[in-house]
Amino acid sequence: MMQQYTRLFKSKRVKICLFIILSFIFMALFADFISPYNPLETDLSKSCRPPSFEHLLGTDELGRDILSRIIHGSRLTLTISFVATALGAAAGIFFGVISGYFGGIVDTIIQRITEILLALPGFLLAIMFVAIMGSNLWTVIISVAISMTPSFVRMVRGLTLQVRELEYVLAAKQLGVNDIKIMFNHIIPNVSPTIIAQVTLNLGTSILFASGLGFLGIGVPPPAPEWGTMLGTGRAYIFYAPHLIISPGLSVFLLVLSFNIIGDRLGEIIASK
Amino acid sequence: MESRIIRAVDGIDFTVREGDCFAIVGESGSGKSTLGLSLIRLCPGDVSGEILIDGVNLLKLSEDEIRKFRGSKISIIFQEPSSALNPVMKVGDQLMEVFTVHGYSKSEAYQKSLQLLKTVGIPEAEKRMQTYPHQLSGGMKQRVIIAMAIALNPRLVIADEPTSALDVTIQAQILNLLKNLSQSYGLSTILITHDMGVAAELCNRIGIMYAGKMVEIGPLNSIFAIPLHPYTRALMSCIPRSLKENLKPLPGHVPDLSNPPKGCRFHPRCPYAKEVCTLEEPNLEKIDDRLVSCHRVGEI
Amino acid sequence: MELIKGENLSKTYNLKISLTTSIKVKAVENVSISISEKEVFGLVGESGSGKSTLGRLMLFMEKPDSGKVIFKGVDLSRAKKDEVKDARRRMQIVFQNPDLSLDPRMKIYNTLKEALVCCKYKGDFVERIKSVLEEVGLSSETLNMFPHQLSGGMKQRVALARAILAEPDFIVLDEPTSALDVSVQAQILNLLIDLRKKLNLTYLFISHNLSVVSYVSDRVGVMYLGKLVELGNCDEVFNEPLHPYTKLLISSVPALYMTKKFFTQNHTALAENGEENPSGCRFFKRCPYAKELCRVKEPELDGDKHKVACHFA
Repeated sequence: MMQQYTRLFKSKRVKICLFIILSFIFMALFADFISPYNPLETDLSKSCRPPSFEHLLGTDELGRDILSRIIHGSRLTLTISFVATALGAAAGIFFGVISGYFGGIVDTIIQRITEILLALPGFLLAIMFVAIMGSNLWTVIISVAISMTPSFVRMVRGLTLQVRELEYVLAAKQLGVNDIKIMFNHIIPNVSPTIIAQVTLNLGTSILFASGLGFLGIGVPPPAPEWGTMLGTGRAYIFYAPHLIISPGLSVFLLVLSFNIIGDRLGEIIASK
Repeated sequence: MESRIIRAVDGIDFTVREGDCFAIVGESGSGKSTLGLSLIRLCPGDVSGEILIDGVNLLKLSEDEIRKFRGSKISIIFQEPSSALNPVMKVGDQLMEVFTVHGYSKSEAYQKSLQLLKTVGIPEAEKRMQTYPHQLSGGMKQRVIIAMAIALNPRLVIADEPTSALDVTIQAQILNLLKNLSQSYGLSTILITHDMGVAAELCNRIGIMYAGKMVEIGPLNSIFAIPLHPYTRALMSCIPRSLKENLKPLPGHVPDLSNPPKGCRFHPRCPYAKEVCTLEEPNLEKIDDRLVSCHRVGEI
Repeated sequence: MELIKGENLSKTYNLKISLTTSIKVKAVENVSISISEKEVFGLVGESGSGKSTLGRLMLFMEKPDSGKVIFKGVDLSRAKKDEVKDARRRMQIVFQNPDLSLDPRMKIYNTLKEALVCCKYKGDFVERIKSVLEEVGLSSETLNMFPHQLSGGMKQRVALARAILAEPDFIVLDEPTSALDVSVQAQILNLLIDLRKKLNLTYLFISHNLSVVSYVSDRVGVMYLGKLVELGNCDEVFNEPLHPYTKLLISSVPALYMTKKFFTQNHTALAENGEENPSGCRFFKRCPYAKELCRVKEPELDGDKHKVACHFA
């Protein structure tokens, strides 16, 4: 099993992507030390300055240093992305395994709810949730998590259906191992490789969702330096000062692309097993 | 990526006479399927040596020439009948394709295909032409595959475990069919199998493979009567027969071919192994009507 | 002494062939078998004969649609949940495919430990597991390995060790050697025979391989399309088969393994699709002796010790 994951790092593309992701994580962890300015400090006299030695990525409409905002924004973005994906995957595994393992009425109920949620586009679902609950960091996280749960439930259920009929599960049942132990010891470890690939892909998707909400003005509320929000406000100055949206746009692009490439590669490795 | 070089087949010589059926018998990991695929140049690795069919060396042909050669001179039947047919194409169309790509007209191809299905014993051949593979049973599919293999009157058919996926009653029918075909068409057959019993049903000559090497080659009857190589002997005593004689299993397992044992490859499992067996690799030596590769063949 | 009995067991599966239509497949229909203590009961039949399903019904791994399983005098369909759980632990199974029998993400030690936890073993786990591993012919180094590090034969030995650790009385061996090479098959067969003597086990040995079944079994049942068509002592069934299907099976086995031939080769080339004959005998379409009666009336399994379901046997 470990050999498969070491195979992942043999590819040059994956190494580059991993480097990008790790540097954003580094920025997020040490934002307070490496950011040259306070990301919230406004100085209207320096509004919309283009990149210079003083402000490497320029300043925004309120004169805040964009580099510092990107650095601090990575903290927000990665928090949303990791926490939301973890919550969504956990809920998906929970309901998916239960649904697939027990079948019957439990399965029917969970599947009908999942189908209803799947009928709505995930992003719309997230918007609805934020619209109802108001927007702050936690509602954004939860809305992103909810929007990705149904597809996880679907996938985990399908995998569980395959694994639960395998001989080693039947043998454990014949021994009298109880259902909860079978789920934790046999089912979840054996469906996890596929889940890990999906989780990686979803890390990217959740960044898109979170910044999408920010762009629409219902994400993490200003003045927090969120990339989506930066894009949303910068849009008004797109011709006058394009550097306002280039930096956050590029950050979103790089991070999402990196997660997707790694996720795809993981999926390939698992499929080629 | 970490990779290892595996000599799945190592220095094998054998001949198949016209109209003969030659069986290659070996356990999993013996390299028998690799040998079968290399004979028809479908094997992904490097193949060195000579494969002569009617004096033509297959290894010297270009890709284009070998493609023409396959089917018309030499063809192969695989183990799994369900994956050898295209599931979304009618049986008749798949058969006719064999003829049309080799230059026959459509109506000729249709007639020939119909005739072939009758030859391989498929009832209601006209109706079967119009069915899809999934509507046929495993035995029927294998018959269709045999029909495709013999369509262009090849000189040699390689059958790689042709009956291993089938039930015994169907296996008996397919073996019967193969036997009749080779008798009536003078077809030479190479049967690759792990099952001595299947080899005994169909073949008159047999080669026993172990860890990429041929250890014994000769007429079936004399090998079964008095196996000379210790491995052949061990294999024979592993077969449960209806008599309740005790089985004498062979200890251990087939060696890792990326790192085969020095000397005779069978020596770690051989009850007769002596020092010379661990040092020197034995060659196939002629003994009466067969070839055996064992240092101690005269003594045991 | 009788250990386990299946009475009139039936199981039907719904096979979905498209969104709206499904067909019913009678995997096992009205089969009764009884196995005595320390006996090896062989079950032969071709694919689709329902032999594996019958094995799983006997283990109560699947609940029969009708009929009952009586294990040591307890009717499992009426027993309490705890009683069923306890009985099931005393009936273990070894499967055909060694690659699927063991959890690929669990070390052998943990797989085996599971069995000890389930039977509430009081002593030292490692000691006990090591001694059972030795019994099935594995070294204790195996404990820290993962299944993919073992060969097929070794995996089957681990699966057997798992079954034995649960201290069973009855083991269903569902094609335990079909995926193995002949030399390994012989090792496993001899091991099974030794273990039975040493541990007083009772086996239900399921296989499509007649020579293997005849090697290990005391009594044999022959199944065809969900029905038991012949049942009797191993020697009698294989030497003097009464049912035409049994004769066909034996005649189809390569002569190297079984020399008896009851049919000539022309006979074995009978129509191969056992198409359903709704009212009469299931073997009607393939049977060379079939008469009008066979088309209309289904024969019952009849006889004293050597039973057969055929009108003309």
